[in-house]
This record gives sequence, C-alpha cells and structure tokens, in this order.
Amino acid sequence: MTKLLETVDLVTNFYTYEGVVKALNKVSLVVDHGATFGLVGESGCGKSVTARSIMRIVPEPGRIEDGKVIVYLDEKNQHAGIDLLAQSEAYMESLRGDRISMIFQEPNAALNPTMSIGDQVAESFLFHQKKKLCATALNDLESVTCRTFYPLKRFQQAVYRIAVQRPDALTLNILGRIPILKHWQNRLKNEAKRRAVAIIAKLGLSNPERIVDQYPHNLSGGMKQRIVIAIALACSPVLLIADEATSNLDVTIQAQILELLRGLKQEGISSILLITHDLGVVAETCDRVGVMYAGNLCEVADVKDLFQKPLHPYTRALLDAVPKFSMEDDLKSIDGHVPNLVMPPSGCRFHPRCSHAMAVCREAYPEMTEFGQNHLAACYWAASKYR
Amino acid sequence: MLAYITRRSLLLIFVLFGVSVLIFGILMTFSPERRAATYVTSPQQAKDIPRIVQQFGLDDPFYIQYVKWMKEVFKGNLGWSLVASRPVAEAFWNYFPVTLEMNLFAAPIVIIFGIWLGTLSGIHRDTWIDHSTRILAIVGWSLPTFLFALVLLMIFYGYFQIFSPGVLSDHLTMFILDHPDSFRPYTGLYTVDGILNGRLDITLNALSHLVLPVLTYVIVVVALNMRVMRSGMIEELSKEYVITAIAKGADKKTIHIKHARRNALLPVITVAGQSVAYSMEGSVAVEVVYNRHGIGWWLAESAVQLDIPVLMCICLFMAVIFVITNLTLDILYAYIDPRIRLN
Repeated sequence: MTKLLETVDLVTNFYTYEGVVKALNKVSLVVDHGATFGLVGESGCGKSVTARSIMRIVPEPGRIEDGKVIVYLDEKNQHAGIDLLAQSEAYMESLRGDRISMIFQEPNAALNPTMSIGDQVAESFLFHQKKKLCATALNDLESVTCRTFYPLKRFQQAVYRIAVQRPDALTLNILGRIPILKHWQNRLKNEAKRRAVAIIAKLGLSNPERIVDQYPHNLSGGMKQRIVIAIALACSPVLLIADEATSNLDVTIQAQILELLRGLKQEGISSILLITHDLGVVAETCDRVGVMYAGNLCEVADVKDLFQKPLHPYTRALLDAVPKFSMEDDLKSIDGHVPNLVMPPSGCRFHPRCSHAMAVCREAYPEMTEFGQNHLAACYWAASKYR
Repeated sequence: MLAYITRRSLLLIFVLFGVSVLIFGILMTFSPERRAATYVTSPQQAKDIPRIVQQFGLDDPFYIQYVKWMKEVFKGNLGWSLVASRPVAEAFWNYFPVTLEMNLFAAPIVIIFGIWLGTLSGIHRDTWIDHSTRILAIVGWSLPTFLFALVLLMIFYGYFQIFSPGVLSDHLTMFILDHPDSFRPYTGLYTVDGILNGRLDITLNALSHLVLPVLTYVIVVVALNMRVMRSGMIEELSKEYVITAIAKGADKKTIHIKHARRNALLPVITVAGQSVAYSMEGSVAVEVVYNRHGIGWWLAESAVQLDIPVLMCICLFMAVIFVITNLTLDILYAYIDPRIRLN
C-alpha cells in the first residue's frame, strides 16, 4: 500500500468567546491510495474539523495551529509529498475540487439556490480544466472550415489559440471584460456545460439535459446529493472526502448513494475519506477505520479487526451502542457526555467516561501504539492487557 | 407574466379607491366652516362663510361630497391649489419634474453605492473598512434629514460659497422666463432640457444645484441599504453552499460576486425599492431646506395652508408610486430568485 494522505500531529483550535476550543489534538492518520478510510465518532468529536483541516477550509474562528497535511499525489513517487499547510492559498484553490474534493452533509444547503444546476457543476470544469476546454473549443472551431470570410470565427480562433497556450494571459483577462467581446467565452461555457451533462448522466440521474437548466429547489434530496457528488467528482479527484454524506438522507437513498460511491471508486477515484457516525456504513464500505473521540484519534485498524477485536474502551462502547435487532436487551449508551473542549479533561480525554480508567490515564495522554498488524490504539489499559 | 402585471394593475384601482376614501375621511374631520375659511382672505369676507358652505355643499353627508369630488376627478379636475394659485393638475406637472430630477440622480447613487459599500463591509467584516462604513451609516441614519441638510448648506454655501440652494441660478431663471422661444422646456428637467436646447451652461448650473440635495439624500438613505446588504452578505457567506464553492476550488472573488452577492441582494431590493418610492414624495425636509419647489415643498406648504385638494392629490400620487414600486420589486424578485414564480 502506498500513502496518499498523511496528517501529522494536526492541531486545530477555535477561538470563541468562551475560550479556546481545542478541537483537534495531534491527529495523525494515513489514507492509502485506493483505500476507503472511515472516520467515526460521536458528534462534536472533530471528524468534520479533521476533514476541513485537510482541505484548509476551517471556518472562522478556527485556526490550524500545528502539524502537517502531506499529500502524495503521485502514487509511484513516495518522496514527493506536499505539505498542504505550507502551500499558498492559490495552490490550494487549484487543488481543491481538482485533486481533492469534498461532499457535504446537507445536500439542501450545499447548493446555491439561485444558480442553475448546470452552472454549478460546470464551475468545477471552468476552474480546473480551462485549458482542456479551450483546446476542445478550438478543435470545434477549426474542424468546421468555412469558405467565406467570417471575421467572428477568425477572432474566436485567435482568442482560443492564446487561451490554449497561456490560459492566464493578460489579453484574455481584458477581452473577458469588454462588454460585447466577452462573449467569446460562451463557447467555453457551452463546452463546460456539455461536460456537466455528461457527469450528471454518469451519476445515474435521468434526463440530465433537463436537470442542468433546473434549480436546486426543483430536485429531491437524493438528487441534490448526487449533484453535490457530481460537482466533487467532476475533475476526477484522487481523494474524495465525504463528510457525513449520507447522514441526512433516508435509508434507501443512503444505500443508493453508498452503492454509487462504491461503483465510482472501482471506476477511478482513488481514495475516499468517509466521515460518518454510522458504524453500519463503515462496516459496509470501508477498508480501514479511525475512531475519534474529543479531538483525538484513539484507534485505527482494518475494518475487520476493529469490529472483531476492538481495543480501545471507547471503540467497545461505541460498538455496544449500535442498535441490534433483538427484543431482549435495552439499547446501551455511553454514560456521560462528550467533554467541553475548552477545558478538556487532563490526560486521556476519555477517562471520565471510561470504566477501565487507571491513575495514569488522568495524568498523561497515551501514545499511539501498535498492537498487531496495522492495528493502532492509544490506551494505557489496552497496552497493559494486550501487549 | 403579462397576466400577473395586469392583475396587479387592476389592484391599483382598489388601492386608489381605499386611499382616497381614507384621506377624504380624514380631511372631513375639519368642520365645514374651517374648510370654507381657507378660501377667505380678508376679515370682511368672514360673513360669507355660511354662504360658501351652503353653495359648495360643505355640510352635506360624507358620501355625497365624496361622489361629487370623484365626479370632478374623473373629469380631470383635481381642484384649485391655493399655494400654486393655479389648478392642482397643472401645478403638479410643474412641481413633479423638480422632484423627479433629484430622484433620477439620487436613486441610482443610493442603490449602487449602498450595495457596493455593504458588500465591501460584509466581506471585510470587523476590519477598518467595515468600521468606517458602519460609522458613516450610523451617522447618516441617526441624524435628522433637515439638520443634515442645514449643516451641509452652512458648510458649502455659507462658508465656501458654492452649491447654492434653489433649482437654478437667478440670472438663468430670468433668462428662461424672458426667452420662452429659445429655451423650450421639453421635459421640465433642467439638466436634460439644457442639453436638448444646446445650453450646457444651464445643465451644469442645474447640476451644481443638485449636488447638495442629492448628497444629503444619499447619505441619509444609503445607510439602510448598506446595512441590509452587509448583513445579507455576512449571512450568505456563512452558508453551506459557499463552502461547497470553496471546496470546488473557487477563488474569493468568484465566491463573493457570483455566489454570495446575488443571494444577498434579495432583501436589499425590498429596502432599496421602498426608499426610492419614499423619496418620490420629495423628501420634504430636503426640498424645504434647499428651497427646491418640488412635490415635497408643495406638500409642506399645502399642509400649513390647509390646501386640501393638493393634499388629496399628493396622497393619491404616493399610493400610485408605492403600488408601482411594489410591482416592479415583485418582477425583479422573480428575475433574481428562480424559486419565485409569478403565477
């Protein structure tokens, strides 16, 4: 397995009026090329913040304080890692939506209500594949030979030739602003729209030509989530981050979306980072799982190992809390609450709720230790028992 | 769309009927003698008051007087204006261009400037740009218009001797009165007529007289537009679809202009439209302070002298303006927000 994404001791804080919320406390995880990594945990434990820190879209007043987010975009060259936290914002803009993209929890809110579906999907192409689009447009222009002198076509050919060679030339910038001349971009936009139709069709939505001219309020929740996925997949990214992508959908649509993601993964996108609180979804789709609690990653294992041999008491409690089809037992829950991260508990953040807590748990935070093949956990109790 | 506009225009008739009944009813609370007395100019005529009341039927029941008035209105006779000493309908077209001229300049500035400042302030939230625009807005919004107008007049006209009050300088007014053949009032707007008659000096002079009223009006009204735009912008920028756009790889400018601003504009349209409609009554204080004889000045004078036909006329005019503005706003809404369909 080769690494695609590695976070090293990621620390993200939120500076609120109540104090500093220590949302991420040294999160280190590795997502491999071709893997589906599941990140699970209760609400408010830092799953989404991890995802947003990777994309560098942590909302105000959050700040990524420390750590590294390293991506190895080239599968073969494992030395050419890029630390995203050290890159410029412009570089991130070129990466987001192109190499790494993200889908969101709430499809109803994730689309701009006053912009047509086609425009929203086409934007991805316009941001990242301008050069390709221009080349296609130029091809179209040149393939049709016209005998008569046709100045508009000549002009467009000239403009597109510049666009193919130097997409950010000053001439284009100026031409894009002059009222009538700026319509040279229409060909570009039409091309992007054609691709949008293609990607929407690929996601299993019927009648894509009609959908591109519609607005979000015309579509159902499941359709909207497919559009959100279409936007994310437009430029065939290496890593797709799905932030609770199925949590707000009803069960049948949830199954459809998961099936879709699985199918897409076989077709091309390399890896998925799936964030969810649903362990059933994890068991269905993931290869590897990370369990988060209160800003800490407490256990990382292959999905089989985690379900069969959970080490961390929190993982065990989480697994026990999954509703089962039985009439006898009461539904178990974990006593206590997720701690307030302004004043997190000392030592291991889970110790106030842990039935195996020892004296050392209150004082020091346990290091991630390896327990078996690729099975990591951060727990003193597990270390004393299983090693 | 056309059906919608027709339906709304028919509604205008009912609105006008309601407004006229209401205003007529309010003015009826003055006793017949009091109303007759407004036409009496000397003490000797005071003995004629009962005769006037008798002759014009001022003590008739409300509905008879209303129907009588209505009949005259349908004939195109809105009554006699004491203030203008000519028929109301004729005087209206004399005063209206002055107000219209100010609004033609003020409204676009208010709308564009308000949207621009609000966007800027919302994007650069809690920076010095935001603070300074908000201070401007608070000052403009909380100072009374007449005070603000007086202060500006004192500074610019009183101290610097520029931007005098009125509509046109005296020598040009005299020239226009003396040479009715060489200067034709095609539109009644001096700035436009100046160009049409090839007298650019008149246009420039009229413009210089417009500076202070427009400035006063803009500073007072822009605050509201700006604040609504600012809060709209902040709200939209915190929404989920903005994060989708960022995750798509959109740059800041695209996010602000293409995504957030269009959505933030919706509430601003209401406010901007209403403030323009409101200003059509001439922003009484501005016209009185700057001595511009427009609708607002006429309204103020008529209210003081109890010029009842004029008050009725201006109230109906306001009703028409508000209905038309609301109709325009609805159409604009449907244009900007695809969720709204006019059916």
